[in-house]
Amino acid sequence: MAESVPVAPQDAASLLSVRDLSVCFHAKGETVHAVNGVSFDLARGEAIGIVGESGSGKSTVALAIMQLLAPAAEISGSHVTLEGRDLLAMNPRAMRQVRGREIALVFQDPMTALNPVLTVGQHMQEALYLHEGLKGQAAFIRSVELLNLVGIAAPESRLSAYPHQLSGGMRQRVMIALAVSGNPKLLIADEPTTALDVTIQAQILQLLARLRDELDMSIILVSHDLGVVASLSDRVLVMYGGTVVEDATAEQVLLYPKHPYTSALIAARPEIDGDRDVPLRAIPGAAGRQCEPPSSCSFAPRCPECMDVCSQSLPPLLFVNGHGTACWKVSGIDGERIP
Amino acid sequence: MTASKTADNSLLQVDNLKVHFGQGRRLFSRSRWSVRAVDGVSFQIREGETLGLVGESGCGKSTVGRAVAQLLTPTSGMISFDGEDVTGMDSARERRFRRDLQIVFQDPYSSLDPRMRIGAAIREPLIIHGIARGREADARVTELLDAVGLPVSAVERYPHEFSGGQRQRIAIARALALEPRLIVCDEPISALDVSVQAQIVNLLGELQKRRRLTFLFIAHDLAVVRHISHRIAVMYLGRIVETGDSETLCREPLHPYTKALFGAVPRTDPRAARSGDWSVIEGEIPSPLNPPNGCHFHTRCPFAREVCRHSDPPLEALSKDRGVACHFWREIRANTGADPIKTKKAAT
Repeated sequence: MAESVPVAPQDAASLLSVRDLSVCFHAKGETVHAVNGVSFDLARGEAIGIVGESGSGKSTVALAIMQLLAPAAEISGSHVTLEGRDLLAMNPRAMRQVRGREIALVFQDPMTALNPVLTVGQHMQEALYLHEGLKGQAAFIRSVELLNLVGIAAPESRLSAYPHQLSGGMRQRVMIALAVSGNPKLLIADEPTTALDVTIQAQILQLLARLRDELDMSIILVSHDLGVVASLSDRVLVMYGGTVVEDATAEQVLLYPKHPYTSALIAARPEIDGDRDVPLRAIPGAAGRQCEPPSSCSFAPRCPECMDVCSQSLPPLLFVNGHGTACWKVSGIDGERIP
Repeated sequence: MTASKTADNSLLQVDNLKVHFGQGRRLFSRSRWSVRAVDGVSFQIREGETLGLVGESGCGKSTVGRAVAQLLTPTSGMISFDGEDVTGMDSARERRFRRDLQIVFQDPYSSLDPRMRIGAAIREPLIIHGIARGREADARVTELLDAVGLPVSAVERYPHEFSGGQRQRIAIARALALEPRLIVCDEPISALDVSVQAQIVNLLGELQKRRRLTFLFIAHDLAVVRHISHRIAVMYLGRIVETGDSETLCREPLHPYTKALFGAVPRTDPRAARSGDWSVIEGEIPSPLNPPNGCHFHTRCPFAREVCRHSDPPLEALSKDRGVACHFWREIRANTGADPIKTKKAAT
């Protein structure tokens, strides 16, 4: 354990760097600590998946990077830097320039993300005018090009369609076309396939993988589904209770998980080609809400391997050979208690 | 149409069920329109067995469940429970039937009355059917809560005090109160987190063993359906395209749609996900308002030929439990080496 380092190794080619990001929400006299000290780096062209269950803070991380959190949210003591510029310190005007042009976002539900009274073409024109300053014929040509790129057949005729005239998969393709219209360096996709059927989900994931190569984008894919994350990501971050509990390559996390939560999550999910006679390993209990900043491992109450130290002290995310885990069982506690 | 009419200890028998919605004229239009949500579906479920009904949205799987539970009146077809036709029962017999068949819905947030304490909610069916009252009912409620793994203290609490998984346990306890023989589970775990889904799946399996329950398990998640079901029926646009026992159906799907559906399920093994073992079919699910002629799947099917465009393949029975509705399944099975879905992907 001598080579353990307290944070993710800083990469020279890093595009986005998130350091100690914490977000809490104030509502009805209550404070909920949604994200607690999340750190990670994203290299140029890299795709990372953030996986976790509802309430784990995965979407909040995505929205905090984009600075799209509700006013009730408070971001504290952290840095989010894009190519060396701190996004959290930017004024709203400068941040607007970043959104869409440098970082773009695709939401879960394309029906609510698209304006129902505007046609696909009007959506495209607006985005192209704002991001690229294109108008008229130039905007039309680019719109057709973009719809072609995301695999929409007969794009010229689709430009006059309203969102309700499109199927769910088609709407998500339009959302992706809008997102890539400003040639972003980073695409954040927040549960992009959750509202879609499984055969359409496969199409959209394939589209994202292709766009990543063709447009040389980095991707942050947020999902509750390990399978979805596995299909696209180079690296996977597993979140629980607002903290990253495991951070490693997709192979390491999904095939050789170290954190008890990751293992439990994998064992709880039936595999399509798994053994049917083995009962699913359910995780007892349910994730609670964090009303205090965590002072111990938040998975401890549900953890099958919980030790005394787990409910007393918060385990740090420690990296061994690039595989990060925040667990006392994994890192070892013998005399190594963090003050 | 039907695989076999001989009802060997079958508890539920559905024959050529059709449910068409909105039959009528559009305003200012002469043409009649209707959604054929379920268009000639036949299956049977044996006592103590779980039949999984899978398909994508709009395939009519939930409508089948609702028709079976008599929550809507089928357009035509027969549903018989324990040898007795349930469509057009008189009220006394229907009351008896409602005890034998219960339903668990997808959303445990809207299926429980927010102003009713849990004890009262579970007790209600006992009172309505005159099964137990007073102390006896209290004892039954305690026993039911225990059976679904909830503490007795839940009796005095309201639904909002429980998590999604706990609420689904309450809904299951309510369904069990009348000691039904068949439970229709309509997407019972889709609203839950993965770690909690496993709890409910295991609970249902355990209850089935202990109480010899029969389940009609409706879901879109293939991996879960495969895990819980003895047999599976795959639906596409109102029709069953393939049936079989779970193991065989998943190991050797015969219908191109079943193949595509299983191929599209993302694997947690990243090597499998990237090796190209992940087949993707093109195209969208057609609108059930205007389904394609012939085989409904021909617009997306990589094997479709002329005959598929106008002739609707019947569900051909291969054995007692196995059926497939495809003109070319034999050829497709013989040529599995040259699977066009995969070869196409390799070429791009």
